[in-house]
Amino acid sequence: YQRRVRGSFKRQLNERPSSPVKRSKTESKKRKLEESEEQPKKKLLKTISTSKVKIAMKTNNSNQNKPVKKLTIKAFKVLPKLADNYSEETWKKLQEAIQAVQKSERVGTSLEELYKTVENLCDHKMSDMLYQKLQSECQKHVEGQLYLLLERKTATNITFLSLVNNSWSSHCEQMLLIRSIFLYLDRKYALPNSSVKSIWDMGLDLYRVHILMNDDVKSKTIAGMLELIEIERRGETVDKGLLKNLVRMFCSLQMYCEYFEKRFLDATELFYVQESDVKLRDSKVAEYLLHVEKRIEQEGERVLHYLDSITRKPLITVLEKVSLQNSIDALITKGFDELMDENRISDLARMYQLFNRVNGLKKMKDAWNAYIKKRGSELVNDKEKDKTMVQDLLQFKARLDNLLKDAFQKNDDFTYALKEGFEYFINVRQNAPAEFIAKFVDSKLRVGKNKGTSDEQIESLLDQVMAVFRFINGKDVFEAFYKKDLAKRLLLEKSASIDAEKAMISKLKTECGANFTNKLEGMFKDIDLSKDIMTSFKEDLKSDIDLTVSVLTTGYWPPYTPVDIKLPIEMMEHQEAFKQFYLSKYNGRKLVWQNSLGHCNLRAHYPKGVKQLSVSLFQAIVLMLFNDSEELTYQEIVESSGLDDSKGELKRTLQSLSCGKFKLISKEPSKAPVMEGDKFRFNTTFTAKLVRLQIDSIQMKETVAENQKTKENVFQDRQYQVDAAIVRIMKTRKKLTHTLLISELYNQLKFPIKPADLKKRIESLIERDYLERDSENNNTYNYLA
Amino acid sequence: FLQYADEQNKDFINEEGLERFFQDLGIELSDILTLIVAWQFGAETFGEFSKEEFIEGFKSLRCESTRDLKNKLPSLKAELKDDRCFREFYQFIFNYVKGPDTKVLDLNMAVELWNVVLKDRFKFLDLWTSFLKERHNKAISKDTWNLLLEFSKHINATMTNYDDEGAWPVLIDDFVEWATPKISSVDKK
Repeated sequence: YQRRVRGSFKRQLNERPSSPVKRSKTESKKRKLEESEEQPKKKLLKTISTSKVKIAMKTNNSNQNKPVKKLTIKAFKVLPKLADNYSEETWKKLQEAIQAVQKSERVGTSLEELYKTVENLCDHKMSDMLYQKLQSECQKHVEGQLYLLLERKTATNITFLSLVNNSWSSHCEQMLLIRSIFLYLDRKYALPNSSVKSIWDMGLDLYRVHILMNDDVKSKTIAGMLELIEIERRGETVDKGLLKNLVRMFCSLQMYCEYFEKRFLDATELFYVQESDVKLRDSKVAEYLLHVEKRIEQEGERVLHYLDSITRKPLITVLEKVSLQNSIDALITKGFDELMDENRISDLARMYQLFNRVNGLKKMKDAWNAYIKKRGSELVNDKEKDKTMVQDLLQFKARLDNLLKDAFQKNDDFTYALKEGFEYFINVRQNAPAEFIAKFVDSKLRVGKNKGTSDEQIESLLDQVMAVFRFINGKDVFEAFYKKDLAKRLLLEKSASIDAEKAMISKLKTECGANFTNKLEGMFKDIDLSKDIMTSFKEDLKSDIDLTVSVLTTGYWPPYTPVDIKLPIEMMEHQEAFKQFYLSKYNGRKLVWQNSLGHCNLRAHYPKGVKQLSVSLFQAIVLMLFNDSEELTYQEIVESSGLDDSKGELKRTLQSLSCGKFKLISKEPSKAPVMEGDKFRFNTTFTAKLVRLQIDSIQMKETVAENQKTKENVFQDRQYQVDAAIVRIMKTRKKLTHTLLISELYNQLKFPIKPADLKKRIESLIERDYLERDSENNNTYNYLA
Repeated sequence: FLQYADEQNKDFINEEGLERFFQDLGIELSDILTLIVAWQFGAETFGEFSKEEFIEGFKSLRCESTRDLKNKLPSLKAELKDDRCFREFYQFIFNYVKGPDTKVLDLNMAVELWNVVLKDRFKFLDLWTSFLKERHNKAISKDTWNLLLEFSKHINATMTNYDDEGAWPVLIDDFVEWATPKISSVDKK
């Protein structure tokens, strides 16, 4: 029976009564009978006296001689007749019972008997009438209930809710009881008949039509419920059970979506519109987002606690739309940059997740990109912070990478925006970042400053540097400075670790290709080769000259201008010997001595102690002049050393010897800078703590002139590349408009260049008759073979 | 021809002879007509006419005497009203005056020439010459000379139709940049 009942409910309501049906003993027996009717072959005992069955009994008898006894029970052939006024009398009893139930009083007659009477009436074709009577009885009662509800003047909507709740609960209980009494009617008459509602459904229908559809009741109930919800939203506790019951009531009566939910969503929207307005104005973005997150959680719980699950999606959508979607721009403008500056990872992560719900990620990504460009440009353009630029860039990148990982879930669009932003701002100030990165790497690969750092730390630092280097457009500037500094490190033996040097080269190779690193690798080869040459030279000579020569292949190394100086005779002899040796081994080569790169170890006998001096060649030559004279004027030094001062070389050298930390010679007057009228003496009072002194730091330093020259070389080289590109393009195309030529050049050239500079090269080529302007059209160029 | 020819070299008319020739034609030395005549004669070197140039020149102009030529002068001048003609003439002058040894024309010469040739044709001529003296101070290339004519035809009174990303020479780009504020201040006055 239970199964059948559920089936009928599915047809009509998709709902179950809120309290489980208590089975009476008769019902469980009924179930068994149910099964027996489906299995006519098996004959079971029926307790009701409507029919009789045959029972076949088999007795287990050991004595096979005695006959088997059989008992037969037959059904009556004729139905017993009912008394004439049976229906009226029975109806009276039933009616009493119904009313007792409805008054929550004890029912007089036994339930079993009532059940039987219903069964009798139905079997004697009085179901119809019975049903009608039952229905009208229920209706009467329900109408009475309405009256009671409306009659009580309640103070608030909320108190009204309890009344409704009570009325509904009672109704449900009562209908259940009534139904169990009239179960037979339900099963035999209502269920098979599709035009007749089941008793339960009939009860619901009555309740709906007569009570809940009543405008007063309906509006008061809904208003009361919404008030309670608002109170809860404002932070106080309310009776969730009450709300749950009422919601279930609406659902059972099929009035949830149309009447309750609609108004609920409207009220929700209104509430949150007001709240967002105020909160957006008064609180910071981070607080606001935290609050929205909490609200979303709360509304979710609200659905779980008492609303119907169907409301979940529209509710959250309304909340999101009102609190987030409408304010995306305002939130970003108000607080995004601030959150970024303060590196508020969890707040940004929250913003990301919330915006993800409302399609706000694109705008957030744009703000992210704009922030990177803004702060990055500031970083790069601030000339006062040039010394720390690379360090700052690395920190900036690391911070952004963290945010990308922790707050933005490595979102592809955000990753791309980071790359694009970085590439943009790092090239805003051309050439400077490339130069500084080269210097930074030089400082990390040099001896001295990095004593605390392990190899792994240096390696990971270089990796970070490469990640930033990747974005730079004018990599040739980097190459020029890197090469220059590498040369110094190699020649003056200032590399901290050859392994680290080689690691850096291979990183550059991966990043920029073999072309970029060919020359650098050539430099290493030259050093190794020079060592071999020196070994065989010393063997060959069979004596130990204290001379080490590095042979540099032109083209691999930065361009150096040879400086002529007057070397002491011994040095000259050694140099000559080597030159002969080398040229005998390698035909057809030309050797040019680069005096500016040479350095010496001198032993100096000072009155207060012998010192071992590590000096540059120029310094050595000047010092050795004092072997022959106590005092020398500036002019005399100029003549004797042969060091011309066109680039301030001599003055720098003298300054480093007489005005620096170690005054190896004394100057008159003693104040820097060195002037042409100065006099110099061997400093007899010189003293220092250590025996070994490094005076040659002068060679490692970069002068302003040197810096300028490196840059100019790069620009000059770029000009050649541009010219070559123009000629190459025009040779292929023969005839090309100005705009097309410019765009083609930008495609081919790998370094940044202004269109005005390109124009200058074009004009220069016109003048040199490589191209001409077309006679018809100024905008077009023709190739001149 | 022999009337004007040089004493030493009878195949050429030199500067002195040229002066007399123009005097006879009734042209001042500073007059544009001297250049027009040189152009019509296809003269190669500034300040002299070769025998061939002289004779061929007269022939091509269908003149038999100096007087014929003198009468023809107004029509020659009028010819220049045609744009094409003028352009040819204008471009000729550069090569003619600078001479075959160099690629560029001395600045002062160029300015003088412009004052003669582009007078009334280039509204910013004075501005241009002051710009050159102030900022450029170098000789003028052929490209600049030629393109200046186009520029004078193309540019409007407020210099607002200039495209600095176009194929104009960098010198003219600089000129426009330098001159634009000066023009607008004049407007304001």
